Amino acid sequence: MNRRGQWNGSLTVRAEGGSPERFFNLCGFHGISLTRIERDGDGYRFCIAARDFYEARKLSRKAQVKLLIKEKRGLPFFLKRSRKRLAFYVGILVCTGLLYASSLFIWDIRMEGNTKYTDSTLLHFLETKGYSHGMKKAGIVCEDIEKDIRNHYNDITWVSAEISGNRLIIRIKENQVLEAAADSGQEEEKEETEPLTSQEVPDTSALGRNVTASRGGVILSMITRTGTPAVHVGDTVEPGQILISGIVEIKDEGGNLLKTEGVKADGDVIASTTYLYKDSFSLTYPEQYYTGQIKVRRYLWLFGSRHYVPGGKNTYEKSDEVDTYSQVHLWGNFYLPVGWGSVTAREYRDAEGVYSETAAKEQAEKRFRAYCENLEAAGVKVEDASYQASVGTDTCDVTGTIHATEAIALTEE
Amino acid sequence: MKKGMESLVSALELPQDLCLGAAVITALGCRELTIENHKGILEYGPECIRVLSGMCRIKITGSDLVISYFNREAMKIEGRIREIIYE
Repeated sequence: MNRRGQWNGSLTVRAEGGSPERFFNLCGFHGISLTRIERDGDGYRFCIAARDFYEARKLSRKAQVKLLIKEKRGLPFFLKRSRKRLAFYVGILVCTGLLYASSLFIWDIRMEGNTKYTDSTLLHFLETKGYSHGMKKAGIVCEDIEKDIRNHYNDITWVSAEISGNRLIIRIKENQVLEAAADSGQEEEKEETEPLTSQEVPDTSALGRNVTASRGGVILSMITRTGTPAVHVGDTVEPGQILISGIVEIKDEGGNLLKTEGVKADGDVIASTTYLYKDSFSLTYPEQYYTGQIKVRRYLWLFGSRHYVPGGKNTYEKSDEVDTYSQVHLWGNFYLPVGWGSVTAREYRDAEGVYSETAAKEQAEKRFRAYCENLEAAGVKVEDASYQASVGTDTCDVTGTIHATEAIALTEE
Repeated sequence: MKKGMESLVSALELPQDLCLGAAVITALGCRELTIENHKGILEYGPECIRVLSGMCRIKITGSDLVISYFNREAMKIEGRIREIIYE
């Protein structure tokens, strides 16, 4: 029986006596389809759609064939058979109602793209803003979530919140360049990076805005789009020095100055710059070693709250925890407020590790390379880089020089 | 009259199943047979099925023959088919 037969109902019928061939032909002539016509003793057995049976019974009288229903299959007969089972229908209704009701709430909040901030940190923040598991979908404004996260976390540069099924998906992009630069901890030569005081920079706001040098170096190429060039290719410039002046002189045919005009200077200036690298780190470092002791605590998650199974509580003084969690979902993004999981605690103890001379040099190289990579990520092209590491009794000191080319044009605000 | 009609259809290269009601028989190996454009069942048994078509009678012999599908346009016979005879 095919799917259509299951839905509309079908019958297995036995035809006896008379002229069965004539009956089949009459059925065919009246547009009634018969399937699985088989010989059954002195009669025939066949399948027919339930809705065609009454028509076939009329035709059977013409052919003097007696029809006996042997089997009834499909949804209409199932419903008829189950009409006295009230609890069954109530169960279906309640189940449908529960599914519909649960589809109105958010039962899963998923974070994507976060590396610095853990899921639990972000979920905790969202809870303080009123977004949590089990809240109504209708009360969520995705734009507000995006705005809240962006305002609270400065190093999250892009946020997208989306409701899919009964799941709230939050995608995040973190500013890894800023993070990496902040984490590297290297010191640059202060002389070159210190901003100039207000006395050194001439106040030209009334006249125009200049392009100044963000770093000192030797100019390799220069393109001026607006303003008057103040330096030339090959010149050595200091940080803060005016590269393109925001004052444009207007002269007559004889070369006499008629007037000056203030403009917002604009241009590209590429310079060869030098970074003096200085780094120092201790030869001892904190280390954790795991004792091998593990405790697993299982829990059931129901309607946004956890119910722990007794036993397995984390009593270790120092440990890290891994939370594994599964949530029941029917299909796609239709999640139910039921789940289970476990928290695995691994005990560790603090220890102090000491770098050997070789390990210290490797660590120094790693830190120097990370610094160069951060520079590259910030748009600086490293031409030549060298460093020297000296391992002392307590610390490892590293000094190095990096020759680079970079854009140093900075338009005054 | 019938012979004249056949000659005319043949001369004009018209489709015989439409003009003369000829049955279209599709056999799939020796286990499955579909007859389109039939006019009805004359005899049905597990070893012999006789079908009426517009031009002749078709006799199918074999063993364990079952009509798996039957309606006005077509019928499908399954089983071990031995012969197809035009009577």
